[in-house]
Amino acid sequence: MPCFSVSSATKGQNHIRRGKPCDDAVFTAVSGECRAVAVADGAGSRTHAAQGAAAASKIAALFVSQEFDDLYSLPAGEAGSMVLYIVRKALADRAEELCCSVRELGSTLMVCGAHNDGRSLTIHIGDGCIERPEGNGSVSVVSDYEHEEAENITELITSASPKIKEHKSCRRLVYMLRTDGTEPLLSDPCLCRLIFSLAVLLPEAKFREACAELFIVPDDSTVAVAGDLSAAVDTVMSATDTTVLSRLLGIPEKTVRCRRSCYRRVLTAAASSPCTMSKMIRLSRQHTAYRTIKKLRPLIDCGLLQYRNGFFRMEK
Amino acid sequence: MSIFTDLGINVDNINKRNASYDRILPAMLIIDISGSVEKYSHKMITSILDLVKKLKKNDTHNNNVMLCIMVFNSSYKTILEFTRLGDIDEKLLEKNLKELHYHGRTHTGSAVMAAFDEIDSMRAAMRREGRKFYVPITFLVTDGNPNYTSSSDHQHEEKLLQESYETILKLQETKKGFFNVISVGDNVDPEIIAKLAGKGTPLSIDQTDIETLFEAVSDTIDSAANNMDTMDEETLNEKYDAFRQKISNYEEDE
Repeated sequence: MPCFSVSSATKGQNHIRRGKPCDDAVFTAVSGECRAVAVADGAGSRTHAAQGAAAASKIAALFVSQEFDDLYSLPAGEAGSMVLYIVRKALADRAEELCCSVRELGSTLMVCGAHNDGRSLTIHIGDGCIERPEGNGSVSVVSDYEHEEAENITELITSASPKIKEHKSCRRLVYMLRTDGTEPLLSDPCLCRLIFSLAVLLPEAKFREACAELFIVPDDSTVAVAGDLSAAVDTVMSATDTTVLSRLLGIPEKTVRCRRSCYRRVLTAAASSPCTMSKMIRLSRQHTAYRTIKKLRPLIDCGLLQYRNGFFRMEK
Repeated sequence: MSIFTDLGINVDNINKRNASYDRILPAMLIIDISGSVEKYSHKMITSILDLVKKLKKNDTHNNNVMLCIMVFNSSYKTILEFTRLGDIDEKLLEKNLKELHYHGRTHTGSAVMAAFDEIDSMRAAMRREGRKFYVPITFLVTDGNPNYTSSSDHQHEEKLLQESYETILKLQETKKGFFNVISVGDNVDPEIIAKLAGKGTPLSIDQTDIETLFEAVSDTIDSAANNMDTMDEETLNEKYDAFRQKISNYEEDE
């Protein structure tokens, strides 16, 4: 069953006003059966924050995607330390290139690695939040940052001994990684669910446009959704608001209410593996191919479901 | 057409609501108004008002910076409770500042402890309201050394001073606040000032430099409020060290 990832980094209003670059960076790497996405929030107080975040996210995503099996099999806590060690080595090289000290490349780091067999691994250093949207509409926190006192102090990958939060699972899960810049909006669970739904249901380019329109916030805002595609579709089709779903699919709300469970079955199956017409006829509880295609037409028209060479697929 | 318009969601409404989501920078001024300050009281009043005016020019600060002003001599008084810059009534503040009587002795310990109580109440109120806040910055401006009317007065104030030294050190160790001590003129007790500065270095300026001092205070608050980006403790400490540097530069210029 394939895993997927979608991400968007939006420059904050304060950065635009001050002519500063976006200090958030996101990088996705795919290696064999594994996909990893890393999000880094460069510390605004550091001179080369953007370069540091870019270097950290790139090396972390590449390393996790390539070494997923080894990292996953390490005892609890060791995968995070290993990733931090590799990232710091890369930062030291980058600092040399930029003729600056490593601390000027300080950033936070969140990484999510997902394997097609359903295993997943998350590593989190500093602030930001890794969450797991649930099918019942709630959002559970996988790891976040507890500010002991003030909000502008956090740990960075360049800090002396930052706290590393690590989470492993062999269940098919989907994660949402977001930097602290998204907090003004995504601390609202409704908006958090909406962004998650858009990440899964929209093409990546459209999702980025939506984020750029929504995140009119002071700090840079990055959201990445990664994990098992069928789990993501299942969650979205269960939890997305009927109105939102009806507008996205271009069908009346009444039709969404009638067809929601059918669409959920169909999309979840198509996200797992290509489905034949006979399987789709069964899943959509129709009797003919014509009626099946007619029922699934809204999904095909909005690009969520692809039908080619006799197979239905859902690809991201 | 925008995706949100398609979805029937008004992004402007979300952004308006978002505007009320803020993280507050609490700033506190503890100003000595003992008898010896009277000679430059006018400068002090105009400098404080200028500081408020200057900071208020920035719309973001109006919403995100909360200022509190406490004055002290033999007793202490909060002339401005923690208030958002945008909500400060400048005329009322000016009136309150002009009505101050510059007399009495310098009981710094009780004023510092009262200021910490004020900060604690502000913290508790923010937590109750679920609001987020940054490390509070405090500036203590004093021109004198403590003088007491009686021995019981002496003992009480000494006890409070001792408590304030310990609280400041704890504050600095736990990174829960930045405490800047600025002594004005040459009538100060260097030992007390050094202890009040805790782990930091006390600043001393000439009394003719009041305007410069408040300009630097204003710049520091401005810089801290402008840089509410992610940072670590080390950088935050550096930020406030820059303030000290700024003051010493002014001194050199003189």
